Amino acid sequence: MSHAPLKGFVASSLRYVTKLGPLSTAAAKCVLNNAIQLNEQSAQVRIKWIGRTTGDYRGPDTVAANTWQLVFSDQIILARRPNLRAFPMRVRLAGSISNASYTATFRVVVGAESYARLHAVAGPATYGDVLEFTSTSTTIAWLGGGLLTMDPALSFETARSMQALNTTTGALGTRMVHSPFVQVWTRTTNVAGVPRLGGLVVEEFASDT
Amino acid sequence: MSQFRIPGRPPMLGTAGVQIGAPVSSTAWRAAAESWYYTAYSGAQVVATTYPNVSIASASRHDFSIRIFKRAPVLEYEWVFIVRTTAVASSTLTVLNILTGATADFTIYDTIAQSRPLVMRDPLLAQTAKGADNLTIGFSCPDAYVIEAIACYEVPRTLAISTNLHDPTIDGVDTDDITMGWLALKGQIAGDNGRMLNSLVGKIDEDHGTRSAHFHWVAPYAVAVADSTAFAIATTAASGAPDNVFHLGVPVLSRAWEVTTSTGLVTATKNVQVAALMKCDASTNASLRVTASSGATVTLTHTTAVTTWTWRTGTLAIHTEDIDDPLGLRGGAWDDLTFAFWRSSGAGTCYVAGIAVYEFT
Repeated sequence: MSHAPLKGFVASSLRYVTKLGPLSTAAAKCVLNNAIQLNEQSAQVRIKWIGRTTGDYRGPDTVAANTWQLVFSDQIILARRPNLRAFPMRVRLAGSISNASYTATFRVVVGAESYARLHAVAGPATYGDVLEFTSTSTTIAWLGGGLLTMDPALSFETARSMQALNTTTGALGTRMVHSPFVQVWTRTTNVAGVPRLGGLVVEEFASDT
Repeated sequence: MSQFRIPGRPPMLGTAGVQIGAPVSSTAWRAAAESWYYTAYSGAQVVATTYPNVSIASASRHDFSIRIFKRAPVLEYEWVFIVRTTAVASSTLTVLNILTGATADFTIYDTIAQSRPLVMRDPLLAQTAKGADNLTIGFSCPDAYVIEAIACYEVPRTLAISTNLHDPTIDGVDTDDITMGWLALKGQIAGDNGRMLNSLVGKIDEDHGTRSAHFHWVAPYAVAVADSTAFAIATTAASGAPDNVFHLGVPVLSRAWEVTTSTGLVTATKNVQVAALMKCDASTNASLRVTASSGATVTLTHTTAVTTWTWRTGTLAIHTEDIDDPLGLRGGAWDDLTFAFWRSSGAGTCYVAGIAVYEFT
């Protein structure tokens, strides 16, 4: 859902605000709507990797049956919302397995290194910051999408200091940014079936309750 | 000085009384101001994220060109690279920012899929206007290595320099001089303040809300300083059977955009810019057609028959997010881009070493 009452940006609202007149209620509402919508629009694309060819994929170095293995790891910087939470993240994953007799499982996790692996490889994919996809096809294809949500308490473990400009004159200071890892873990039911990660999309999305 | 001048934990958006039909309370103004304020300081904003996954055996410098859109006058970038060795346990990687001349050395390791990000800060740049720009970055290493990822972030900063808040053309406001908290908490928004606030929101939306990293793909376009086609996509395909640059559709969704009716209906599409770094052999021309599954298409052409790399650009309408869909999909379907590349005339080979899709308004 959108928190902006009009669910979008009212670019033409300036016309409601006459140059010298008082601010009308309608104009004020447009301003408020736009300010809130602005925050929600600040959601950004964080990862968009598409294997260029069918031979452009990522798999484990060595294959072992029913063992979680890391095939993708990247560190990103997240936006924060006024309640200090990260945006929910829209995830889409492409993958396949080298032998259609077996099943490849992919789990995407976003979080600090201290717990990302634990969440990803835990029994069922029950954590909100983990999404699971499976494939029994030898053709790399999009396996679907889902919404992933970081635990607001755990997300603070992703904080790091970043040099920042406090003024436009160039004075430097520091500020905190949230910089979690995005990882993909894979597992196969048989060593004769090698999981192949062919694409990954992680985008912030202003959908929350 | 703290960059967060509104103390305490702000209320969640949407619970502060900002509702259609309700009077505009000071609480509502505060929520709006805080939305703006936290957006302005919500962290570094990505302008490019790309996964070249290029293996390089040569010690020669390999250069990448990345087409980006700066959403506001940019003072600094933070680059994040993920690079690993392939033949030795560790080595030294030298990264050169060709725009600024800044260099940095990093020790890289052979940890597959667990490479540590290498963060390099650009020095303070001269302030320039917002708009499209080409960033170039070079890598050199005495041992074989793989460049897995290149990302570029704008560094958090105050947003603009103008103090003439009544000028509707201002780029924003220096938040060290003006606090929106003060403005909102007064609860006495008169015409001038309201107009000013709306100008700020509108301009900052243009500058800050732009989704600048819809899609980037890059390959080295130069080796040892000279132009190179060794890593580029090459084609001699005819128009009737073009090469498909990516075997999967590339999903893109624009941010929700302008409300067109009083009921809050958001326009279904928004224009983005698509760009390709193209080059052809002598007397040869190329075309690259980008098609959105939602229907729009644009063809980039390299028609000057010059043999140097050139960014070609065009405009394409893509779906905006449907904010009420669980995944933001409009009509429940992903909007996927396909890229068809062919030789439009001549007898030589056509090349692409970079593709970018970004919002520019």
